[in-house]
Amino acid sequence: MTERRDDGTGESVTVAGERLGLHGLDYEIPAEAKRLTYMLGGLTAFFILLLIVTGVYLAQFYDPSPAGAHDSVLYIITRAPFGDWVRSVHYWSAAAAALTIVAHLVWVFWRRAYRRPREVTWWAGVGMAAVLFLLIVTGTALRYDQEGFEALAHFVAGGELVGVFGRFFTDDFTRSTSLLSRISSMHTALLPLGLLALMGLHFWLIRQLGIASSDERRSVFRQHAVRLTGVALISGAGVGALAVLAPEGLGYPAVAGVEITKPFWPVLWVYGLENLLGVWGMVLGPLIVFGFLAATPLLDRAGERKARSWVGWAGVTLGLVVLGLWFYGVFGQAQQHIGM
Amino acid sequence: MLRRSASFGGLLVILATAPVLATHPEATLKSVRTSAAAGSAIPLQGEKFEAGQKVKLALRGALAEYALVEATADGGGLFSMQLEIPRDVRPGQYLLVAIADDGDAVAKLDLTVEPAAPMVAGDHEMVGEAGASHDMESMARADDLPIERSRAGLEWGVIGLIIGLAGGLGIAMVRRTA
Repeated sequence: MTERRDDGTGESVTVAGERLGLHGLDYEIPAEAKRLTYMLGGLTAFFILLLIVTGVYLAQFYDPSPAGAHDSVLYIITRAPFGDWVRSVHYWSAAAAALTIVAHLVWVFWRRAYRRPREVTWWAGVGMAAVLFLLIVTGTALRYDQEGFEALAHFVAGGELVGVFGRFFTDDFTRSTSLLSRISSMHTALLPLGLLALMGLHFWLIRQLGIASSDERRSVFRQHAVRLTGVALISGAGVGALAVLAPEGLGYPAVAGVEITKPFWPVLWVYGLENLLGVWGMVLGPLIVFGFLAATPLLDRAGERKARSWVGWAGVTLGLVVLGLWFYGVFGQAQQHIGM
Repeated sequence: MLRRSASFGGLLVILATAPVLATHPEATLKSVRTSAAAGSAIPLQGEKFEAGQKVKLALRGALAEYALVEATADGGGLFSMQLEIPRDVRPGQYLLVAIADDGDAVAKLDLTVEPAAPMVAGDHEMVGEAGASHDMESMARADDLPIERSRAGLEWGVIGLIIGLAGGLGIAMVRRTA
């Protein structure tokens, strides 16, 4: 498969490369793209791929009915072949994807790489971050333990709060199936499809518009791709090892009417805001953060000047507020936010 | 030649499945209820069993199987009964199966088992909203279930191989582009 042949032009061509069009990877990119900070987006894509692969496996054993959900998760952990490890890889991949997407977003924001002509690239990225956020909260609900049930109750409370726009997240939407089943199909089909579509758009635009960089030295994308794949595989091995050393657990079957757990750590800043504002915090927090991020290319009119615009400092302030809320969510006492 | 092979293959299939089909005609279990509380009873009908066939009824869940009673079909392959769901059955989604003498599950019915109703009125302390809240809070748990995890040696080996291969290949690729 790797036998080298001459294609008649004096250039060596591998058998696989000729058939897979690998020469398409030999385009120029800035040399500094070999640095880790330029790999954060690619690493996020790798973790999303891991999530999809492990998620498909888990879906073979998961029962999305309220009566069977908790037991089916317990079955995955204790009976399904490699179920415990695959589920833990799924959990740690989600944690890693949350970390890398935030780091990637902060890096791109700080470098103002959302400016013309890359606004749509930025919006696709913000869209992916929002979809990943929804995947995290819907995935929590599927556990259907105490934490999962409380997550589901938050969906209902938030849906009722926003009236007709939130009807989809309540039991009133349809009587033909349970809310848990619909959340399950959101998590396993609707949201991943949206994520992949946005990812395709994001990668297409990066290819067409190039990587934003002032580095005039040039490298070849194939080199970057090989290095990125290597870093991704090392990260994947790390996730696999974490899944062995710190497997994800499962809570007790839920008791309705109480709120005693805290959510998965990427969502703790929303929890902190709920402690301050009640249920409205759950709706306003993500709206403000993702709304600001989406509006950033339209608000930043500072042009090519090196001085940071007010948008940059507003972003830093918002980031510090989110971080503060996160710490409050971590260390604050568990509170009742909704009447369950 | 091809037609002869196809005919021979079809004959093999028929011979292989004929004993199964002859032994287990399409028996069915039916009930007007699709769910029941543990400790209650549901009306159950069996149809299209063999005349005089004895089957064992069992509840098969994701984690446990509960043996119930035996049922015997009459001359027409029918039986009818009130099936008691034991009180200690864990709430969840089950398959009610009729198991023949040879161990085959010849008929199935989906059944949801709900938590048992309280045995006496005072079982559940409903002393006003505050009291009920306290009772529910004392039942709710925020910590994780104690789960016994055990892996076969082969599983450890495969997982170790995957992690080792991924890490080793990754290091090799990074060093190649250094």
